[in-house]
Amino acid sequence: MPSLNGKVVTVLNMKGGVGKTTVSAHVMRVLYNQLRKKVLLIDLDSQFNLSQCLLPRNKYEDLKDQGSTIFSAMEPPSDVGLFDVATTDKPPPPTSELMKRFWQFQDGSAYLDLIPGSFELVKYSLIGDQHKLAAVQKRFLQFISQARSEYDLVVIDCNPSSSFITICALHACTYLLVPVRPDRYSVLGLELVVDLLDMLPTIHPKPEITILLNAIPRQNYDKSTENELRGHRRFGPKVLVNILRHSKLLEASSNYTGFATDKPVSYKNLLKTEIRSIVDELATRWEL
Amino acid sequence: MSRNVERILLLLAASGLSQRAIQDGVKMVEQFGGKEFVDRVMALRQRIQTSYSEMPYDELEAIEFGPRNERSEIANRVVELLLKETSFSTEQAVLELEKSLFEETLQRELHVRFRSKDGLRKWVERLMEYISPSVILHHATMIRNKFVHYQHADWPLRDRENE
Repeated sequence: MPSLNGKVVTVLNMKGGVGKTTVSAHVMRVLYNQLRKKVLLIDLDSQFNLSQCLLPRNKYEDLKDQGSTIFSAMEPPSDVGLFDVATTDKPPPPTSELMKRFWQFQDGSAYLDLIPGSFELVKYSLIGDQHKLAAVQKRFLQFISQARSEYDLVVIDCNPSSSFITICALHACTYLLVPVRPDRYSVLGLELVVDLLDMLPTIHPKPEITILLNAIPRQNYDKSTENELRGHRRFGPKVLVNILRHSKLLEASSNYTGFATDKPVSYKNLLKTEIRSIVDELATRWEL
Repeated sequence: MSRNVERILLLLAASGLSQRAIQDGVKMVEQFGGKEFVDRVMALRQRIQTSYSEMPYDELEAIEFGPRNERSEIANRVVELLLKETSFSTEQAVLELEKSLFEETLQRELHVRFRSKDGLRKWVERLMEYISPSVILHHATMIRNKFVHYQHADWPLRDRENE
C-alpha cells in the first residue's frame, strides 16, 4: 500500500482577488526550493488563472489538447457533453500523465509540478444529479490519494465559491490556507469559508486553517483589519506572523509568464527574503 | 567602451568560464554573426523562464539582505502594541500579557520571569522560546484591542460562542 505521507493544502477564500493564485504560485515556488520538497500545484479553477500565470497560451493549449489537465482526474475522456458525466471503473490517470514539470533539483530529490486547470470544470456547476457528482468526487479523491504517495505537498488553488469542485478540494485537504487582504471583503470571505466548513458534516476532521495577510502596503498601512484579525479569539492564533507585502513582481503582467521570483530583475531578492520567512512559518505549522 | 559592453565583460569575468571557453564563444560570434548570437541568448532566456530546469537557489542571495532577526521584529511589534498603542507602563504591559497568556497556557505557570533590567522586549523574546510567536502576537493584539478606544468596523468579525 503506498504511503500517504504527502500533505494537501487547499488555498481558498470566498472573496475573489485576495491572492489565492499569487500564493499558490509564488509562495510555493520558494517553498519547494527552500525546503527541498516534491510539490504539486493543482489548478482547480474553471478560470484556470494559475495556469495562465505560469504557462504561455500555446503551451497551455497543447496540454489541454493532450488531455493533460485536472479535468482528466475528474472524468475519463468522453463525448457525454455539458450536462452529464462519464464514469469508469478504471483508476484515474497517474499524475505523471497530467503534470507539467517546472523545476527540479539536479539529484531529482525535489521538484515543482503543475496540473493545469480547465474551463471544462464549469460543467459541474450545471449538473444537479448528486449521484453523478459523487462518482466524480470519488475519482478526484482517488487521484489526490495517489498524488499524496508521490509528493510531499499537494497545493490546490480553488475558485472563490462554494461550488462542487471547491467542496471536493475541502474533502481532500488536511490544511486550508486562507489569504486575506486588509479589507472587510476579504475578512468576510474568511468567515464564509468557516461557515461552509461548518455546513459540511461529511468533512471530518476539519482541515486546520492558516491565515496569510496578503498585499500589505509598504507605506501608509492602516492596521485596523490586521489588529481585528489578530485579536480575534478564534482566528488570531491562526494568522501567520509574517505577512506578504505588496510587490509589483506579484502583480499579473501581460509581458511576463512564470514565477515572480524567477523574473530576471535585481529587486526580486527582497521579495524572496520576505517569502522565505513565510515558508519557514508554514513549514512549522504544517510539519513539513 | 559602452556601459553595456562593460557589463557583459564583467559577467563573463565573474562566470568562472575558462579562457578557452570564452575564446570558443568569440569564435561562435565570428562564425554565425551577432544576430544569431543574440537570438540564441534570447531563446535560452525564454526557455529558462517557461520550461523546467535545474537551479537551486544561490545561498549568496540570503547574505545580500542578511538573515532577518524575526524574534526581535516580533518582539518590537508586541512592544509597540502594548506600550505605544495602549500607553501602558512596562509593568502594566507585563501584567496584562502574563494574565492573558496564563489563561492560554491552561494555567501552567509561565517559566519566564520578567526582569526589569532587561526590559519588555527581551522578556517577550525569551517568552518565544516557550510560546509560539503567533500566539504571543495574538494575545498582545487582543489586549491592545480591549484597551484602545477605536471606532468599531461596520462589519466586525463575528465572535461566535463555542469557537
